[in-house]
This record gives sequence, structure tokens and C-alpha cells, in this order.
Amino acid sequence: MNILTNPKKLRGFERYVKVDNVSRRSILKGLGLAGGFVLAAPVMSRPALAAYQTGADKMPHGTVVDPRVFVAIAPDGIVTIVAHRAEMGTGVRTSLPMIVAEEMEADWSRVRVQQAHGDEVKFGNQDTDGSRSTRHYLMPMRQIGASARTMLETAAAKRWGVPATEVKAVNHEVVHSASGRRIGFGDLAADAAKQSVPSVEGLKLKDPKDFRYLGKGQISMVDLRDITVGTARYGADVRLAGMKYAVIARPPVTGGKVASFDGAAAMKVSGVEKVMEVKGWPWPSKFQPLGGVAVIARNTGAAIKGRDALKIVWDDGANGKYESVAYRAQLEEAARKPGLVVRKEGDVEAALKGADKVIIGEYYLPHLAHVAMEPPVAVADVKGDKAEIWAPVQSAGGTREDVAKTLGIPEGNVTVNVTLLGGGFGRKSKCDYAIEAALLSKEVGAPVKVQWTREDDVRNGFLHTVSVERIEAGLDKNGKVTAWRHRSVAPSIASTFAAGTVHQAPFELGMGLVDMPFEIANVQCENPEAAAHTRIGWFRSVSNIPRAFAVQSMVAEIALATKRDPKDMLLELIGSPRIVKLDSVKDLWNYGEPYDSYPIDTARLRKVVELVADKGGWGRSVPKGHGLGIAAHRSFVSYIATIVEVAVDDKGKLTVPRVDTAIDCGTYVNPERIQSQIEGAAIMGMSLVKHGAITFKDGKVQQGNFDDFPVIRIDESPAVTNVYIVPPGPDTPPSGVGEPGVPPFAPALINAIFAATGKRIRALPIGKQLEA
Amino acid sequence: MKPNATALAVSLLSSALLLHAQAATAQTTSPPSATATRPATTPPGQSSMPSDAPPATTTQTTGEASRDPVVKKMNEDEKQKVETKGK
Repeated sequence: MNILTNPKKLRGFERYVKVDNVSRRSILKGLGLAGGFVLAAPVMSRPALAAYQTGADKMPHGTVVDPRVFVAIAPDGIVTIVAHRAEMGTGVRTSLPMIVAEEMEADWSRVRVQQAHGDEVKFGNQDTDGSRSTRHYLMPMRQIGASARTMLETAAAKRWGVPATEVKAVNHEVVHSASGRRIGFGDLAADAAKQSVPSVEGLKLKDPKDFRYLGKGQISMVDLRDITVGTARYGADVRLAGMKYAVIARPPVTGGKVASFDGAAAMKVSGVEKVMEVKGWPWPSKFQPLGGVAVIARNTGAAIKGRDALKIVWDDGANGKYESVAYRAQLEEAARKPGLVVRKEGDVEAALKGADKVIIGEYYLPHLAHVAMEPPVAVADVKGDKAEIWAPVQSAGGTREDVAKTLGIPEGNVTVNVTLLGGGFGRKSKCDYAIEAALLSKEVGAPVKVQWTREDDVRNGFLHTVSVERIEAGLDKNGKVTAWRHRSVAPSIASTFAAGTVHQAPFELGMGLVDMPFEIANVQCENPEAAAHTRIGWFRSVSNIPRAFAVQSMVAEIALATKRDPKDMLLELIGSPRIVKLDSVKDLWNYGEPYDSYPIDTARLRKVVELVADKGGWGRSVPKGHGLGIAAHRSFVSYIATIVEVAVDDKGKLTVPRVDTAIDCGTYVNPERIQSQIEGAAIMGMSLVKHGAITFKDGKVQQGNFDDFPVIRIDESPAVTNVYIVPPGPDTPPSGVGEPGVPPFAPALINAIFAATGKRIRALPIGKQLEA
Repeated sequence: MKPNATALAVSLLSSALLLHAQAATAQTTSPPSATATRPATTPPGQSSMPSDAPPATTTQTTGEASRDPVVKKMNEDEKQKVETKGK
């Protein structure tokens, strides 16, 4: 019996979940239903959850784990389940409602999903980031589904005059086996609405062996058909009567502002109706707009042409001399000197001095842009002290809050409608584009759509940080690693909220630096200063990318130096199966999760390495010019190991015939989505390793579109990506899936390139480094 | 009425020939002029004032604390949030 069904294990969670029957006309009307039954679980603050406590109760707006999910059953039997998280391709809009449907024995073909608007008091935290939707909401969704099922069964039992124990919900109806009577959910809905909401203690969850949907991988995304045939509605598809279209010329340098502008030529462009300055805020100002000059027109094309006709003189401000080559040299210089110590075990200095050999590696990763297929876009309609927004945002609640504060209106007067997101990757967790639309709508007195072009997206976003990772590994005469010093120098995301920031925040340090799990006696991690000169933000898997690149490359370099197989070297460094203790780390973020529930378990890390080595055929013969590389990393409390096979021809052309990835993400809901996320991570990893570099000159981003910031095309994509999911143990909580696939890809690829060519690449992107 | 297989085959064949002819025509005809609007790579009318900014370094910060009380509070709240929750 596992944690999902063991009632004793559920007890802590049950105490704090309150499930209410909220069959109110207004709610039904809001859902577009005329009758039926609605169930809501109010958000409650509670300190303990299920058998495995998660960090969900510490998230903003509710310290909650269980969202208020509305389940409605119409008289015709259609079940509507509200999805409170944003859909950006991870499938969360399908997976979370699917959990509810599973537990309530709903027939998925008769389930409809409705997107929640931004309201975290009602729905709980809506931040769709951190790879935590499933791990925070698996149990709450099961509870809601079980409650609905119980109420339907009770209603049927009463109608038939039989004990409730004799009836059972099965596939969208309730059955009384003894008499053969059956009744559909729709026919029961009104009676079910009259039942008391069962106590959580009394809920009986389904036995996983009876699951029809969870864990099967046979349910496709609810939006799949619409996406495929082009009827899916994204932010740019929103049309309102009287809507204006706007593009904004934003300061090209972070912290810059308009010195002067002349909109006369822009106003002469056919279709342009207005040119106006947009309010900006001095940097740093969280997600507030950069400001600039807006061109408002009757269509986007006219707005763009009008913007091209603007005459603007910029005051670039204090970051006007930010230049990537010089800054990289600064980072490297900083990495070669002592920095703020953030983890210390043993005496690294003495161990390095006494080492038989010291291997030093410096690894560089430039700024990266998200370049989701859908650039930022938002529609706003501001009327007096009310505002309605339509936008692809990862944080609906945060958007509502920030729009309200910026406009100076009550939060309750702001409605945020979340459209589908054409990719997010962390860019769309910042709502600057929604605020821009709101400001312009307020000014012009009409709905306004602010559309970002690809150039805007590349040049004015919140970039992944730039970093140098320096690792010194000391080896004794037997080749055993006895010392490990890792200095990580990179501007912090915190610089987006706090001027004067020169060190990374605990959450950044906890992504592959201080949580390094190797069994080494003397370890020291340092974080020298690095001031930001552009807006830095979250990018899929965040600081894990440069850290995994460095650490896993160094593993392979140590293997070479000691003439060991890289996989064996990796396992030796991971060490014995154990729970890693990090007492010297002042603030181990651990992805916001309690360490008791989600410790660093080296047995699980070893297992994915061994699994991928077995399934991926590590050590197999490969043709000339091919090579295999391996890497493993724990992030978002999941464990991943990846093998990449590369082929490099005599001209340096790189292709990837095969990728194998083993993932341990604990208890999982939708394996088809896991496969999809890992495949996508390989594509993203390949793009950033091969091409990804945002560079600066005179404070300005030098790139603008896919011609100079490419993503890989179909001919560069891995030909085959195999994904192996570790079956969860009986007590293994769910962990992240959306991001963990990215970090190990780069080092596995780079290690494979070394195996194929003998070239060790330590600075990304690869670019022309392989060319003869 | 049962479809006439021969007539159908002829109809399909005719269509195929028609498509082929159209394709041949397309290859010899100049493409229509582009109508999509492309943003200028470097906006021609935009320029920067001469900059007296110092070279950007890892140790010299350049941001300024917000004087807007609303944004100042937003910054403080977000900083506190990310320091404790990560996001």
C-alpha cells in the first residue's frame, strides 16, 4: 500500500483540507451551467500535508497546497473541472483535472476543462513555474475527486434506499450491483448537490491498481486537437470590438530612458492613430515596464511601420557601456579569487595544496533568451477603476496584483483571463507586457493589444544570467578526488528587485552549487561578486544549466585524467547510497521543499545513472566520428541522467543520432507528458549548447531574431530520444518534470563531443569551435 | 447511385494533371511581392546620446533604488519572496 492510499499516512493532510459543497447559482452561472452540482475546496492555510509534506503551504496566497477547484456536473452529465494553472505545453491543464476525474470515476470523454482566471484567494497559488504543479497538487486534486464521488454515491444510495456501501461510482455512473440499477452522473447531479460534503477522514481514495488514467499515458492534452488544427486561442488571437494595436519602442539599454522623440513621421503612416510616451520605471523595478514610445494603430503592421518611422534619442544611462567580452573577462578574474563562502566541509585549501594532482576547469555560459514561439502579447481593457486583461501569463495571480498596484485600483477590480501560452520557460512569469497594455488602454480609453515582435522579445526581456563556473578538483596519488572547490560567478535574479545586489540568492546557490551531492571529504563553494547590467530572470531550470555544465564536464575531465570510464567516475563521485547532509549550508533552499520529504538521495541519483547506462547502451561500439557522453543532475527534486551520442564529421558538422534519458520523478500522473518534456528539453538543450548566446555591446543586445539567435531546426534535432521513467517506490512523493531534463543535456553533449573528437569545449555556445 | 469508377478515375487524373500544370506555372511565375511587415533590424530613426557611463564591471552596481513607493514595496516584497521561496 503506498502513500496514495494508506489512510494513516493521509491523516496529517486530512486535518487541514476542508472541502465545501458550494452549489450556488452564481457559480453555476459563471461556469455557464444551468443546473447541477458544484464542489469547491476553499484554500486553507495549513502546516502539514499528506504523508509527504511539500512546500506548497509556503507559496504566496494561501500557503496552500490544495487549490479551490470547482467541479460542476451538468444535467446532461458533462463534468466541468477548472484548471487553475497556466498551460504552456507541459500539459498541466490536462493532468491536474485528470487527477480529479480519475478519483471521481468520471469518464474523461465527458469532462470539459475550464481555465481559471487570476484569483489566488479562490484558487490558491497559481504560479506555473518551478516544476511544482503536480508535486504540490496531486493529493489535493485526489481529495476533491474522491469527495465528489462520495457525494454522488450517497445520493444514489438514498434514491434507491440502499446502504451507501452497496453502491459504487464506475465510469460516470453509480451502480448498485445487487439490483443491477445504475444512474448517470447527470441524473444524480441535483441530488448530489444536496449531500453533505464528506469529512476528509472518511474519504476513500482509489487503489492505484484501479486507475484508468493516472500513470497510463493514454490521455492526450485537452487542447491537442485545437492546437493541431489552428483553432487554439493564444494571446495574440484575442480580438475585442474597438481594439487598438500597439507596439512599443523600448529603451535599448536596461535603465535607459527617452531623452527626446518625434512622432510626426510615424503619425503619417496609414493606420497609425496615436504616438505617446509610455511610463517606465528606473531599474530595478520588478516587472514594471521599461517605458519608451508607443505607436497605437488600427493593426499591428501599421504599428510596426509607425514605430520604424519614429525618431527617438535615448539616454542609455549607467549600463551604456555593458559589453560582453569585457564582462566575461571580469567574471573570469573574479572566479580566480576567493569569494563569499557558501558551503564548507573539511579544509579545501590544505587538501588542494596536498593533492597529487589538481585539475582546473573554467566554464562559461553567456546570457540566453527564452524565445518561446509566442512572443509576449497582452490585451487590456481599462474602464475607470476596472481592468480586464487577456494574456499568456504564467502567474495569473501575480499579474492581477501588479496590474492593480500599477493602476492604483483594487485588486478585486482586475480580471486576468489566461490564454494558452505558446511556450513560457519563465519569461511569461513576468507580467510587464500585461502592465504595458493596461497603461495604454487607460490612456486611450479603448481596449489595446500590445504585441511584442521577436526583436522586442530578444532585446527587452529578462535574460538568463551570464556565468563563469570555476572548479578545482584535487586528486590523491590513487586518483581519488579529495578536494573540490567550485566558484560560481553570475549576476543574480535578485538584481531585478534590489539595487546593489552582487551575490546570488539562496535559491540560485541551491541549484547545482551548494547541493552538489558528491562524496568528497573537502568541499568548498564560493560565490564572488557579480553586478548585473541588464534584466535577469528565470529561464527553464535557471542556474542548474551552468552548474550542471561545469560539474558534469569536470567529472569527465577527471575521468580522462585518471584513465577511468566516465560513467564509473560519475558513480564513484556520487559515492555510496546515502542521504546527503549539508549542515554547512546556511540556507539550503531545496526547491522550497522540506528536506524530510525531498532529501538529496544519492541512491536515486545512482539509479538513474545505472538505468540510462543499461538502456542507453553505455560503452557500446559507435562508428568513427561518433562519441558517447553521460551526465547526471538532481534538480527540482528529481533525478535525471542523460547519454548523448554525437556524430561529428570532418568539417565539424555536428549531429545527434540518439539521446537516452532516465528520469526519477517519483509518483507520476501522465507519462506521455514526461516523455514530451524530456524530448523538449533535449531540443532546448541542443539549441542553447549549439547556438545560444545573447551578447552586449554599448549596453545593447546584439541579437534580434532567429537569424542571429537560432534555435535548432529539424535537421539538427536528435534523431531519437528515448525516455525511461523510474517506477516510483511506495513512499516516493511526486517531483518536478518540466525543467529537470535541461541541465544534464549540455554536459552530456559536450562530453560526447570530446569522446568523438578529443576537443574539450568549456565555453558555450559551440558555435564554430568544431569547425576544422 | 453507385459512383462511376471510370468517371471518378478520370476526374482524379484530370485534377492531378491540373495540379501539375499549376505547379509548373508557379515555378515560372515571379513570386508576389512580400506584404508582411518586418521590423527594421536596427531602427533607423533611433540613436543614443553619447554615454558617459563607466565600463560595466562585476563589482560596480548601476541600479537605483526606486523612489516610487508602490514599486519600492513591490521590489521589497518580491525580494523577500524569492529569498524564502525561490519564486
